[in-house]
Amino acid sequence: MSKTTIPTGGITADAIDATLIADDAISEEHLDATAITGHTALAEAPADTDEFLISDGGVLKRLDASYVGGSDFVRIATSRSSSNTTAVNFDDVFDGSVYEHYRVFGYVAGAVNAGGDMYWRTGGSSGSTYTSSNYVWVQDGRYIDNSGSAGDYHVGTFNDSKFRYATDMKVDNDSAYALFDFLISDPTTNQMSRSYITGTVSWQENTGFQQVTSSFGGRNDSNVNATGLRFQQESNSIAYHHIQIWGYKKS
Amino acid sequence: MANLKEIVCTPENPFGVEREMSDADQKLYDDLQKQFNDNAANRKLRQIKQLRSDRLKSTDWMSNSDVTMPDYIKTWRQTLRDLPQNNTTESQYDTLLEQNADGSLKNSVWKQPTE
Repeated sequence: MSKTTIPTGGITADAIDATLIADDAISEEHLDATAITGHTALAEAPADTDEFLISDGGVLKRLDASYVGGSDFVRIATSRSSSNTTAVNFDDVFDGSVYEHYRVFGYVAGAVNAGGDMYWRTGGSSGSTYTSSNYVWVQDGRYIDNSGSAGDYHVGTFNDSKFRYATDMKVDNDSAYALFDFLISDPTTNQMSRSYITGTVSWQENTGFQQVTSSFGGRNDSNVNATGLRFQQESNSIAYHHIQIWGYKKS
Repeated sequence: MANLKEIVCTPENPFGVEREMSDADQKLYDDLQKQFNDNAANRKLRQIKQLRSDRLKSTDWMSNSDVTMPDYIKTWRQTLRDLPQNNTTESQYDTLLEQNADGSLKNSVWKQPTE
């Protein structure tokens, strides 16, 4: 029996199933965009076992999200604000079971002319700041001032109570800040007993308004087993900041 | 009095939340502020020595055996070397470090003489 007209309401909910439709009968012209847009957005990165529908050489297949865009370089945390804050902490962000190297980059602008400091954090989400005097760091670079004069820049401290990645930072609302890009190895000391830091920093000093660029290297002279980082100004608040922490998967 | 606020990012809050500082971190913050203010004079003297060192280095080449260093450069270099002993108070440091609006240093001692 054939029908050319189906009256409104003639097909009830769930009345049509796979047994009633010929294979390959549903083509693009019968599929509306609301098949996607009408659904609830996931609004987060998909789990590894979430699935996509793809055409694999003309054959529809399901694909686990773990195969799509999966990266061994994973963003762990981000903090960004234009409001004053006393410090920016990253707690429990170092996970030695998954990562061994971390990339920490961003910028910090101070509320007064001062230095930018970085500390280890230890002991969980309400952890403490590690301030023992065994941070070792050195910076080597060049500067150029507003008159065009350039010079060498060499600073460093043995057994400091923190890493200082920028000194005498100029404050000028949102136009003067320190930009940094650090690579941190094994802060949880899973394989190595000391964590090292290497990277680059550029900032504007208050004295002479000179722009400084430098390489930065450091280590902690004890087995800290750090769980995170703390960013703070030498004095007063952080006015603007945007800091990200990314992890490189071990395998 | 309540402690000041800080931001903390964790795996549960990867974009950060604001919270009150712990007593230990508040003390760290207060101690750093005090240390920064207490060390103002030393910090300024360190900057002066850095500025002096840069200028001495920029004219070191004039002391090579095949170059004759002009007397006015010799005098200037000695003046630079004597800066720490001739300036010992924070207000004197401030005078040496005074800047124009464009960041250039006002004090003529920093400018290399031409004769």
